[in-house]
Amino acid sequence: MSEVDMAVIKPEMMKSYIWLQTADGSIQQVEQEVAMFCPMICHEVIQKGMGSSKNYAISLPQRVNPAMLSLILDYCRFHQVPGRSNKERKSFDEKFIRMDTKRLCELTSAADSLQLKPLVDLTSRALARIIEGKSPEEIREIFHLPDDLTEEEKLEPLKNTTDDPRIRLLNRLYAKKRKELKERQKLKNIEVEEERVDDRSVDDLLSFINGDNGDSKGIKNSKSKKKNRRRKDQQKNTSANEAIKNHNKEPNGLNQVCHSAEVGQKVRAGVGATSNLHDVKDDIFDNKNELDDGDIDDEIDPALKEKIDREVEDFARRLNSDWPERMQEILSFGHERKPVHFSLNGNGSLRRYANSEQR
Amino acid sequence: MIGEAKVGNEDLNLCFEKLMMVAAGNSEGVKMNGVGITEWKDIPVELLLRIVSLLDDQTAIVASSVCSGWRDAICLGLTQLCLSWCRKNMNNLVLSLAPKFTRLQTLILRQENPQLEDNAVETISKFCHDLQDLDLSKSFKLSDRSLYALAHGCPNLKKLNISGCTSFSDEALAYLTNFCRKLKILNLCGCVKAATDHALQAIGRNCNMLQSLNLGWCDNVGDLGVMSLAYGCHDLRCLDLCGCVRITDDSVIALANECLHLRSLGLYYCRNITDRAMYSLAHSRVKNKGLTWESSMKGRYEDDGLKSLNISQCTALTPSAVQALCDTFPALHTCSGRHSLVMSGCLNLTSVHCACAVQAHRTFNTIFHTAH
Repeated sequence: MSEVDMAVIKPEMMKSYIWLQTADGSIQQVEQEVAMFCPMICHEVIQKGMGSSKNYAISLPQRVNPAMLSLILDYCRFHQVPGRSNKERKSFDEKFIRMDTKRLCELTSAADSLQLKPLVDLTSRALARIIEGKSPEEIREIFHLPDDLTEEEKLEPLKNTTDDPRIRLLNRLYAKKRKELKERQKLKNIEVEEERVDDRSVDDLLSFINGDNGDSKGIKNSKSKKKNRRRKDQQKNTSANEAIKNHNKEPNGLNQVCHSAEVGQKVRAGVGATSNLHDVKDDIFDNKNELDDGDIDDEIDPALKEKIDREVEDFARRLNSDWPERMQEILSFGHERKPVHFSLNGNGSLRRYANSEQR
Repeated sequence: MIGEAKVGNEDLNLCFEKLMMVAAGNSEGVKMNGVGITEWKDIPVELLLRIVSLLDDQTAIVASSVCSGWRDAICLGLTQLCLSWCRKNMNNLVLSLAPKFTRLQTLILRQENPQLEDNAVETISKFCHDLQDLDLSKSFKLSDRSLYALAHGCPNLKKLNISGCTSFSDEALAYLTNFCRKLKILNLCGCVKAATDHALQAIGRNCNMLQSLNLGWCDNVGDLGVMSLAYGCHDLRCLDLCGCVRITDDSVIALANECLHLRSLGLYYCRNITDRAMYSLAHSRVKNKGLTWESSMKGRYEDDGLKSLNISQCTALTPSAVQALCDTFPALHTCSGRHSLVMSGCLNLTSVHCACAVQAHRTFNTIFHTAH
């Protein structure tokens, strides 16, 4: 008698089935060897004698819905066959976990409740790969998690893990993008953007001068003082900011750092970042009073940010009109009293020269 | 890195696809208040922690600031953390993370460039009382304040690495050992001020479970200290006295007699060591063979006794003594495969060979002869 004949005559003896019931009430029967691959089902069958008929179907945990069950059974069906090579199994696994994140989460959860360790490992690793390198906001988006931490709680780790250039870059891109949008709305001049770069250095310069003479010399005292107060907290940041802004005007540097996918979208914002950014930004974060720095921090009160941005724009516009004359004024005044000399760089920003280095 | 990015790309595409579907009004929906099964925030803590354990440290830190559920899970479950990847902000990072990750058992803060300051270690001591393994190597900026803080806050320390922390004093170290009595592994490599005889006496008194001690380049270490150590820490298995130039035979003899589980001994540059030390080591083995009946009964003769010995630059040694040692401890090898008896710079010891080297030599000679 051939095997096929045997199968026809006594099907029940050739193959046995186990009855499973999912939380929604639906019952199905599954080949025994496939179902027994799951430790939880195995336990139910052996220790409790369940699953032999429809009336005694094994109740599966709540986390296993019919869709997930079918996926899990596919997995079991493949892997319970002893003859497969490691390569085959690996290849199957790789294809198996290609699904959207939501299903992957459900699958992990379901596999865990059935104690199917190999599948839990596989799905966990896949989820870990998804999470790696993402910012908290992105992770929340992907997994539909509530945004229920206070600003303070959220801020700290992100700010402090600034050693990761990608996270730092993300923060910078958010801030930069917001700023750019505002700029484009109000000032349609690229020139003004460059002026804004010089703002910082001018502030630096002005605060230095104002601090020593207390004279306005045609410069808005109130604005400078306001910026002075802010700048006092971040004196060491200003030169760093300047450097960053200069770097930001070079989009080519971006490619070196931003090859990772999660910033792929933001690349189009045209912001440049080189590896120098690394060290420069570290200096900024050394200072704990980072909340005042509107450039780096993307989480400060938006209203306040608006106000500051508008002030900066006003100031920039004022400067823009009579910049060369102002510069002469400042230079000539400075030349008389101060030992430090200022001279213009090629791109319009200021640099200090020590007395000995005067050009 | 590129490979990772590629995977990220795929997943990111899937995520965007999914979001697009949702935006198009898919009924499955992005519900924040959905039914139990599909809500990821209801994931069991163990499962989330399993996934977090697969993440690199930076991502794990980021994950702890995603939402309150993840924060609580990670803060309760994270037991190991390494911050050595920090280049500039390690201090601030520790200050903000230590109060959260109170269940930490292993904390690696080895620095490429010195960043860590006393206030960070004080914070760790204040919050992470379960700490068992702490690596503070190359923390040049730390002062004794840190040691005092650790003494009070982390009594469960089993493994402590303060190599390269040159500012620590021996008083502070002695104070620490009085509180951290469970120390098993202690690395004081380069701690010249801290590793003195006074400190070693304290260690010998207090840390009786000590198994591994690294005193590399601590040139203030003398016989008194090492002998106190030997008398106090009978379970000592690995001792590195590399560069401890004041050591004489008395130290090694004490170690040989008291520390019967000694497996690894480093005497690099200990110029005062003579054959007496070698013979004492060999002799103690013979003497104690009867005492270690358990291992010899199980036939694991090689497992017992010295496995690794570094006598480089110990130029006072003679071949006969070292050969005797090599014969007594079969685990000491001079053959290229398992080089565990290191004698660099000892030009008069070139004739010393382990048993397998001799065997190979003999085989070679036999072949050579039969060829004729």
